Amino acid sequence: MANTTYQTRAEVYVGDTGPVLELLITEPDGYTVRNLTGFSAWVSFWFTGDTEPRVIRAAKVYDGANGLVRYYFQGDEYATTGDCIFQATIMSTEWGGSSSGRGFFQSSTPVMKRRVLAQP
Amino acid sequence: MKNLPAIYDGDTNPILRFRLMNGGTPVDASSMAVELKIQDAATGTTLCTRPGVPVSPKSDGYVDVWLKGLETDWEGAGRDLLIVPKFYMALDANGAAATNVLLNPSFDTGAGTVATDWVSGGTLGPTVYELRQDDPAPPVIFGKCQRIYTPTAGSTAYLTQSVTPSMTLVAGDYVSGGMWTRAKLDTGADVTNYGIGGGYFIRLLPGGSDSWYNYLTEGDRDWTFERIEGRCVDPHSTCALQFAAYDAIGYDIRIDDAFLFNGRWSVVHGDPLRLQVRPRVRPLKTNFSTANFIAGTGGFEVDSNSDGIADGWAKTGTLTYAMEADPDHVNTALGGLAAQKVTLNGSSTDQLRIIYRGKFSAGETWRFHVRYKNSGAVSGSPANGDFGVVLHTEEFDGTYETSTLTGANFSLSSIASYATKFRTLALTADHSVLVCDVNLKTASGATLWLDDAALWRTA
Repeated sequence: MANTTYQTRAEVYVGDTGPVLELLITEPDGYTVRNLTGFSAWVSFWFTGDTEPRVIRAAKVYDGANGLVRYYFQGDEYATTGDCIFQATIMSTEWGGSSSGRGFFQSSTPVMKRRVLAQP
Repeated sequence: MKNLPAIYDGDTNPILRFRLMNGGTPVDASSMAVELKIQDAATGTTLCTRPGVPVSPKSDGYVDVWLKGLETDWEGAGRDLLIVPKFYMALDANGAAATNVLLNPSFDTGAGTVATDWVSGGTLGPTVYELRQDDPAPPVIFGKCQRIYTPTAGSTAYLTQSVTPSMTLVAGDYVSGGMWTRAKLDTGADVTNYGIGGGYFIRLLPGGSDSWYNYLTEGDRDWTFERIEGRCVDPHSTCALQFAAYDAIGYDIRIDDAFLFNGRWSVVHGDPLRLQVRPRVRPLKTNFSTANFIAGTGGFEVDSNSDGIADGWAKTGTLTYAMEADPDHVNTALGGLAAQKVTLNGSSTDQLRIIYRGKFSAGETWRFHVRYKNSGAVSGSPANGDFGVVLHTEEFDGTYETSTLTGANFSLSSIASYATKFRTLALTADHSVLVCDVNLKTASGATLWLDDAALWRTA
């Protein structure tokens, strides 16, 4: 349900902070763009062998109508060498007891992977 | 077996959709109710029942699956689920789809207390009727449901059609009804003479000696489809369908999508649908006090739609909210770049809320905390919990539980550096929802900053 539109490089270096990670979120059919107006998003990062994410941080729904999410790296995501795996999650904002709560929705993209290399 | 699109552990995805087909032709879902039995594919254990949500127009045969998180939360391990549809089909004597003779059976039309074409009767006492559009996950989309609440004893309240439907029933005919119901109970809720006149029940009443009851099971319950069926001894020209709450103290009921027809229910199970819940790395409940389950939204870091409220937080009320990026007011000790700024003005309604869905079990203790500071002493005398944090469960999701309100408020004194306010909730029942509230009522005269909210399991 997501395609990375930027940063298609498979290899990055420890401490890299850019370019931004940009995700196009689709419906389960894989091609219909999902309207993310009113949604929140975050990205989880972990390394092979981890049992919990090392970083979970908010991303920006910067063009909700066109299903686009951006994550701005802060430098601690690629903290060490190895295979860094990450996954974005989107969630509707809900009140629960009010009419805005009808569409509770939390869904995650397929996991993506980057090989993190030592800085030259 | 048809496969639904795979999801990940913990996802709650209401857009899983399947279509009812008879050969190559869509099946009209107008004259049926669909229940979904969610099973663990490995063991066959039924985990829960969810209403299938027919998509408008029902004639197209699409049904949505709404998962609440309890079924998909395997603490990262994932699991294959089977979704077994159970169809309640209203059929006439010839086996064709029966005509529902109720007017406004969806309760979607009307406003105020009782839906259009329905009327209340009996000894009302303090009974509360309300047409509501604010209950999450109703059995129909985009619709309302009818509330009946009997806070004290003595009620013989019931709902029925304002004009009893005409039906041509001869001796030997079957007449049937049904509706979706859900219930939550006040503390101390009770029924006098349950099953022998007391309780909440569906009644079919053609008249004379033809009268049938279905007493609904006592207790807190989520949406369940209830039906009733009778065979007439005498001929009739009308038939009433009633929903009654007799001597049921402290019961808060919702009803929706009712049926009344000449014929019988046919109940069949459809082919199971397989849903793969993929494993993933995610915060673990076993890492007490370190695994923050709202880390992606609790930091008040991003405001995508520039409404002044951080992403992920829902709010009610009229206060002025803004994102704060000034490092002097951001709790940078935890690495964040922004905080939530709130200008307090004495509003009596303001709240910020995050709802976290998953599997929460009796015996677990959860803690919700938020860090806060202010611009100076706060005015007002907010009641306990009105100006602070509250962690609670949701209605219709097991016995309602909430953290204690005493001591829940933020300090009204000047708080120049970030302090922490938290509440804990030791669960005594299983739940699928935890609601994290930051209440901002009846306080004024200062600016409040919020940062780094967290939801942890502590025991």
